[in-house]
Amino acid sequence: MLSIRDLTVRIGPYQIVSIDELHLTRGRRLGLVGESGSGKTMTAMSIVGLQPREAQITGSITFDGRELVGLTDSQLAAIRGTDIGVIFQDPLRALNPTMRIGKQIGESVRLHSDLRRSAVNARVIDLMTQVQLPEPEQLARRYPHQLSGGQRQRVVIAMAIAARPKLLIADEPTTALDVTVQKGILDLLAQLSEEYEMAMLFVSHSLGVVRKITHDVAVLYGGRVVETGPSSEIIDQPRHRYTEALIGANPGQADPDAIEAALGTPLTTIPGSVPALDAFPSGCRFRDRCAHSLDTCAENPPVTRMSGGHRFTCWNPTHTPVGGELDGAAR
Amino acid sequence: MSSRWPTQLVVGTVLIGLFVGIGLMSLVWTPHDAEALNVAARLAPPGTEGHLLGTDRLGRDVTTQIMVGARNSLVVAVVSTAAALVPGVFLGLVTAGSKRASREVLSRATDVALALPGILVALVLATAMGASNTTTMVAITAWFIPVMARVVIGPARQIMAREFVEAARASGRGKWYILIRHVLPNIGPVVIVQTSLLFASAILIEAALSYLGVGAQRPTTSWGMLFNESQAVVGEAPTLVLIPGVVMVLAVLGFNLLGDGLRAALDPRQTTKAVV
Amino acid sequence: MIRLIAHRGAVLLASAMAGSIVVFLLLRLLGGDVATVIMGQGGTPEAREALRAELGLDRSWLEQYLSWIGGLFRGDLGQSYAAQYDIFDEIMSRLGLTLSLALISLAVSMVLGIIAGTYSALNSRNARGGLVDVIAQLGIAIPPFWVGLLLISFVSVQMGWLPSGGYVPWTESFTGAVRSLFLPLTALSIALAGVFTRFARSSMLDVLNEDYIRTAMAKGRTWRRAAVRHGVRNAAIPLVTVGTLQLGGLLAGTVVIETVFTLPGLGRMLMAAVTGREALVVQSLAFVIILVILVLNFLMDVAYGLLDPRIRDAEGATRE
Repeated sequence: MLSIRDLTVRIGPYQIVSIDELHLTRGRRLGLVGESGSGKTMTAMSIVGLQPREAQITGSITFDGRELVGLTDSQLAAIRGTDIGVIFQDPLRALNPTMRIGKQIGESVRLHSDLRRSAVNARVIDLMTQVQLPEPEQLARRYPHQLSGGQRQRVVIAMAIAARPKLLIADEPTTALDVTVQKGILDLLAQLSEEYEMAMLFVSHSLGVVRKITHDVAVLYGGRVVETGPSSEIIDQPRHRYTEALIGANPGQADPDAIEAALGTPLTTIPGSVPALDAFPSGCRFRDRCAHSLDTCAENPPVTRMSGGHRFTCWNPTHTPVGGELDGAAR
Repeated sequence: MSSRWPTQLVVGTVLIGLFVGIGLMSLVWTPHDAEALNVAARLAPPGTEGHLLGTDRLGRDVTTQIMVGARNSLVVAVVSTAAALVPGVFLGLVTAGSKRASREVLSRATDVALALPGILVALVLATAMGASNTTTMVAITAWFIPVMARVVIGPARQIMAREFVEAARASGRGKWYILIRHVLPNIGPVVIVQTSLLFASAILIEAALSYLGVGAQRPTTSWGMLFNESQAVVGEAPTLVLIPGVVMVLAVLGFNLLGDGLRAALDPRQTTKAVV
Repeated sequence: MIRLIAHRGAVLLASAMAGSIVVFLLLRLLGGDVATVIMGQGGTPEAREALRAELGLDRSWLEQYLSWIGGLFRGDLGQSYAAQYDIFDEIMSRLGLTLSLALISLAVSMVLGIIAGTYSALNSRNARGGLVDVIAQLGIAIPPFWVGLLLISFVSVQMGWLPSGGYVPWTESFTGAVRSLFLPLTALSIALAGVFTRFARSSMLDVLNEDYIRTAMAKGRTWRRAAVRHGVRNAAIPLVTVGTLQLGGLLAGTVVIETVFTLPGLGRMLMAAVTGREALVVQSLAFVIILVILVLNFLMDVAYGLLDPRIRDAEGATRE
């Protein structure tokens, strides 16, 4: 349904994102994981043209067979909200501070239907009920600053699902929220995705969250996908040295039974920090922070494809793949 | 943005240079005597032999009048801004350094003073002191003091909250030492930017007051006076209003551009709020 | 909201009182002896003494102040000595014109400023947006009285399209009032619209970086539509503060423009009183003009609360 090929996003001289390929099939949930600055949000936003205005995009993003790169803003606007909904990181900033909640949700409804005013209002209440907001009639008349963080995010979700999109892009939807309400939001998103058979692109920096609600995961580093495949397989048996280090640095997060605990702990970074945009090394971008780097890592690493869609790009993975097919350079 | 401020600075500086240039030049040379009347040659159009920009309704040379008027505007702007600078900054610093209650009162008081139009202050003064260039300068100064204070208070308070001020306070430095040694140097950009904007404002207020007849009186020549004297003949000789006005607008524009350019260069976080 | 109005109302009263004291003291401290000013050096000391008693100037300052303020509420501010008119009635009959000039040009320049500033911000990457900014910058440097004189010269005298002066009251003829006020309002509004355009532009540029613009785009709006629908109101909020700072200049401009277009408003009355050095008239007029500024300021504060629900909810909200 969604295919990304040879996507690059540049801002000025800096290449923020460079993704060779990434796929999402109907009804599936894909997690995008990485540290801050890995380009995960930029990737997600550039799908629907919500990247910063100075960013330049090349390559290909197809959605239901339609090429999205190169579309005008008004062509993309017709897709946004209708086919692809978006949820943002900070719900307070994502809502217009001077417009009542009901009106903001109503805007989403009106943009995708020609309902009369009373029908729009009924639909707004209906949507608010679906996202489990209490006393929707009263809340609809409030302003964003009068709601709690969790309620605000539910409002943003209600706006995103108003037209029952086929794909929902969620950009760290729980990061800005209290730990106590994070789980409720995650449960709601998983439930809505099942109910509406809605695919999700879930940007997160929490492995635990990804493991809990996504089927597949793509690990990003320096704007590149270093490893992708089924979530449980990657978290239990990571192949790329970066994924391994990331999981190693965050032991609690990978435990599927300790999700609440994991939600409360921010992602621990691995030793060293992500270099500045212009300071990545050649070849494997992770090699100067990697404990297992070889001389060959200065060359571009090969793509290794395994069964089940598991794929990684590493010169010196955790152990020799069994039944994997080699792609690219011979070893 | 980055490519814009040098343009502003360059254009602003050139315009100010022209304004100051003709003002200073009038001290040593003007095409004609500023007060020389020649009723026979009255209302000569621009381009007339010997009168490049024409003559007014009493036959005075317009070029000369503009040059001498520029000098008067320059004097009024320099004197009133300079006179307001020290007390204004001082008032701003005192307010910023005061305890909460007195700061509120002082801050409100400057707000009330700011709400008074500068021209109204001048008119009240003119009632009491009579119309003159001195009245104009006193009134502009009186009004600029709270303006300058208002602009200084915000940035000064921001600096007071910074770590190095905390450190100075912790090491036992007094309020005045901190205000003068730490705060004052850091609000320099704000004061410089505001000074440029006040110059523009002074030129406009001076012109308005002498237009109304409560500013400079003959034999002093002022720009506003030229408009006042030409109003009766504005139908037949519009250039008498047009040309001095263009010169004045360019001078004001010059100081506004310089102020904006300096703000972009010195104060990128835009802490200066334009008040006038 | 009620809290906000009450708080702002209290500030209005306190400022009005402070203003009246300042005006009163200024004229007492600097004014010299009113009787001498009126009679010139020619009057005998006895005659001056009698005049002082007649004008109530022999009483203590406190008494004079209280009777002045009391007179303001009773509608009795005494007579003009030179022109023999009732000061209060004269002020009331001229107030409508001055208020029309100030309010209409404030509203017009604010609306124009928001439109032009938004346009400039939305086109900030191309020449058109920059051009609007340059024009606004130029407009700020243009004094109202000069524009007024040029308009008289070209539009009234040469073209004969509109009157060069005089005022037809609204109650008499609506079109007549519009015709007589069109040029003065144009002259007053150019510089003010320039100020608002520049602030609206920078305010809008800030707002364009806000996340809620992106949210509106995610709902299916284009960038431009999202910016207009969600940006303009939010960008207008800081403009209210800018507007309050322009009120003094606006009233000053009104005083001058009334002289340019010979309009019978408070400004011309003030000029006549200043020229005649009638301290008592100037005192009342200056205070009324300050009062107009303060009331407009109060209304802007209320508008601020209406525009921004967060301010409405904050107790005794103060702006910094």
